[in-house]
Amino acid sequence: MSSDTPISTAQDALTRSGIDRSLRHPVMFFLMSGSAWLAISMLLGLISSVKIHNPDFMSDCATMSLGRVYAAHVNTLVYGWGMQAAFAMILWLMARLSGKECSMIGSILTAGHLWNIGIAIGVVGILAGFGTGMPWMEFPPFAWPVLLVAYAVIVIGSFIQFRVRPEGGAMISQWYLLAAMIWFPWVYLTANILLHCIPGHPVMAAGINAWFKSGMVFLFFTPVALGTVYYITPKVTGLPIFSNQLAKIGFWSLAIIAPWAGMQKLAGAPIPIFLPYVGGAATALIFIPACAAAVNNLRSILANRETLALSPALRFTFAGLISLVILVICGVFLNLPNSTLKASQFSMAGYSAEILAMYGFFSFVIFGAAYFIVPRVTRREWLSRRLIRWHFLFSVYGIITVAAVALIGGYLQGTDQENWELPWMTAAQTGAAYAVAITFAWCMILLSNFFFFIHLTLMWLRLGRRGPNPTLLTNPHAADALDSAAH
Amino acid sequence: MDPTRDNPIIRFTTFWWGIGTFLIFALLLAVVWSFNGKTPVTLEDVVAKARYETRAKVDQAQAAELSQDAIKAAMPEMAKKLAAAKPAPVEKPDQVIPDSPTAKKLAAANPPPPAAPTPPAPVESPSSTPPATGQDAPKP
Repeated sequence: MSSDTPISTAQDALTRSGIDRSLRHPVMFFLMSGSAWLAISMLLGLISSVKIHNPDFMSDCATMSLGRVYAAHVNTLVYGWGMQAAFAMILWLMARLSGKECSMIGSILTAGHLWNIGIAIGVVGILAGFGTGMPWMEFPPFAWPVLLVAYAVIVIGSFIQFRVRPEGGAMISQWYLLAAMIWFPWVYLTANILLHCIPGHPVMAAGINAWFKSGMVFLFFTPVALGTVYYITPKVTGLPIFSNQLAKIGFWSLAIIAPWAGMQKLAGAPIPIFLPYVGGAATALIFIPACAAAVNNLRSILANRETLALSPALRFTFAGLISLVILVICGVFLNLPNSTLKASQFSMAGYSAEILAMYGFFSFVIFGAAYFIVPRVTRREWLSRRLIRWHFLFSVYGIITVAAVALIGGYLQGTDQENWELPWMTAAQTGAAYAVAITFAWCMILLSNFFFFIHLTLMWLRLGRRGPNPTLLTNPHAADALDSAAH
Repeated sequence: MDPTRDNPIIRFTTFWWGIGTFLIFALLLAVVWSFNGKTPVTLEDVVAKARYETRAKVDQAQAAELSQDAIKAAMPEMAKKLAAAKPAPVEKPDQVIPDSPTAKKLAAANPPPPAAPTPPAPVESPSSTPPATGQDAPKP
């Protein structure tokens, strides 16, 4: 039986240090290239948002038409940023939790470059007019096998690490990460084969596409983010997870419910009528696993409010969990097939949910984890607490604005679309005013990601601060002085 | 750490298990597709069936009107007639290029008839002007 003797503690520290050193280049590569794609995605999102309320903007350039720019914006957000950030988390967390150093650095980096080349060619293909027109799958058909091969090479090492981990059960983070590693090929392979290789009915193609989008959110990005949260929260707060039983309920309910979600977007389409109802019910029921995970972690976070005020990792994680709760509440109220779904089906409200999931929840959790992981793999501390604060504040206010405005504006837009006495132009004009606010919010988010990218680049160049103390959001010594002065 | 859990054999087999796990979905999809690979019957197919029947009837009727065998049998005879016919030159003065030597030659051979004198234009009196009210003028 192992005990916390000084020798074993020193051995653990050495093991962790070796793991961090082995993963420095892969983790930083994926975070750097991911944040670069995120900045590009934000820029494209800004352009597409401007074009909604000002259609003449860049209207002479076919490459910059709304249909192409919007598709490029979403695909760079999902595959350029989201997937690569997820790779960084899977690689580092799986190695740390399995206690194994990474031994496939060369192949991972090669596959990482392949992934980025695939994304770049795909984005150029979309902008050149060769997109498929299927949301979240707009890359030209030749791109998906390239991305799938690169994915397999990147994560197969983590699969092996999990298998050869030291004896003992798997932690809840490992459950989520392993599930995400397996669910992604299922969703991605199935959807792409059915849509690109096997000819089928076009209406069912739209249904498969809707299922794919939902599967990417709830079967890949959500488990990766929750696995990260379940690691970061106890590490930073120093408190154990509130309930292991609740964590298991959350995991298994997600595994059972999430694969059924997505088809509600085809309500009214000529498909079997039970499919939209099953999709709507499953999307509403995702409230259960999401709330189980949120409650489990928020109890630990709120029990340690001082750390929440100081730690950037915990602050971002907290914001991500709040976004998750808002997302699933919206999922309940916006997907009722006979009432609200009509107003959210073809309006900006759907965009609100996507952005809330991809940025409000997933990206915030990843930012929090990056503020925790990067100092460990680079052996440098973050340079500026001001840049971190700006990143947080601009991101939070930006995402609140985008999500709230797109939600409210989308609902009103959808209500106008449903009103047959009104011309269609009225619905478009209703949405245009809200699009102005979204443009403003994208500016804020773009600025916040610029801060993050600059900060990350400095850390990648190992220009971070040398020192034993982590960079916190407020100076604890100043807080102590203020506190003592108050007394 | 249990050394028996981490050795090259386990790593090798896990690698292939991992690849297999990633590809198992494609394999399952292929199996399902192979057992359920019927061409889907759509509304278009049902309507097309009636259209094909109509087309077959039309084709049959057209074939009955003029058979290919009759055409083939008539072709040698027609070819002989055409070969025996002597082609005659076609005289078409309107195809002659204006102001060309041929045109001048033809003009010299067939001079145009003298033009008839044009009658003087009648002088209109003010009373013959139609009324400006839009009504028809009284007929003479």
